[in-house]
Amino acid sequence: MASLITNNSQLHPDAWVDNYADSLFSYAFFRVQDRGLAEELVQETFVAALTAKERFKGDSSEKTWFFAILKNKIIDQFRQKYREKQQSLEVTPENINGDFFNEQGEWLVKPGKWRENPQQSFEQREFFAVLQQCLTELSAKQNDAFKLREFDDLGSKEICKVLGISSTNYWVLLHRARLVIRKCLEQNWFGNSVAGDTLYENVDI
Amino acid sequence: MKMWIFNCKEVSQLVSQSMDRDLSFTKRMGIRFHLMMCRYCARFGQQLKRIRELIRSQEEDNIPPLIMDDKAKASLNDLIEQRKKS
Repeated sequence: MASLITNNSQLHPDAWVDNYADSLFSYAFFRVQDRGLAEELVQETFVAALTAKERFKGDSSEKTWFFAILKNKIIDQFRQKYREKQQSLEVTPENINGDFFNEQGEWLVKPGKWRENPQQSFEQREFFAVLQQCLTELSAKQNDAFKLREFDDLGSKEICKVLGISSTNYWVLLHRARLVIRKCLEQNWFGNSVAGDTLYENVDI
Repeated sequence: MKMWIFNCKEVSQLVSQSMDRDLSFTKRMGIRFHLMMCRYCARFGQQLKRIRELIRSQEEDNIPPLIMDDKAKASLNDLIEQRKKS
């Protein structure tokens, strides 16, 4: 039985599929929302891992190493996807936050107060299920931009390159994504919100 | 001083931008001035940070778990076998 713990730089390819295939696949699917594509990404990850296996130094755990490879593959996949259809997906900035603010630029639905949530891991898992649901409210491009920023911590310039968009377009996409996600999480996760209490409502800004 | 006076829509855009880049001094002051009087935009900013924290503090295994197809797994095992031989 191959040991999971790699204190030395030994890797155990025989146990890879049992140990990592499902969790890599779950993560890949969460990011690309397509089973076939997720399988391909996991396969590419394994190929890369087999090729680079001699260079694995054991600085990180085997699992961390696998996820690092997978995340790179995911970003590469976005690069390729948007290189192919660069022009077709431009967003129209007009309706950017029309359904969030009125003509005077005031909140239509004011952000509510969030309850504190203990960050236990079983709750975290539920959080991601809710987040996944919320992400479906975004356009494909907003979704990708949001995840590249928040999950991969890519900078805005890098994301513009990956998605083939201008920086103006980037700010529109991200802001829109955040408005939608924030509102959705407020309704479905942070619950008990005190939406728009009245104290400051008439302050003229 | 008009440029200091932002409404909620503008402030929310700037707060969102501040998650990704540094803003000019004038804009930062404009936001601060607005946030002193507007708890909703202040919440908006705090909540964006909270969402980022929650996402980034998680382990990859907290993603809703799925099972990969046996066929796909079998081809992964084949791949590993092949590499072992070569």
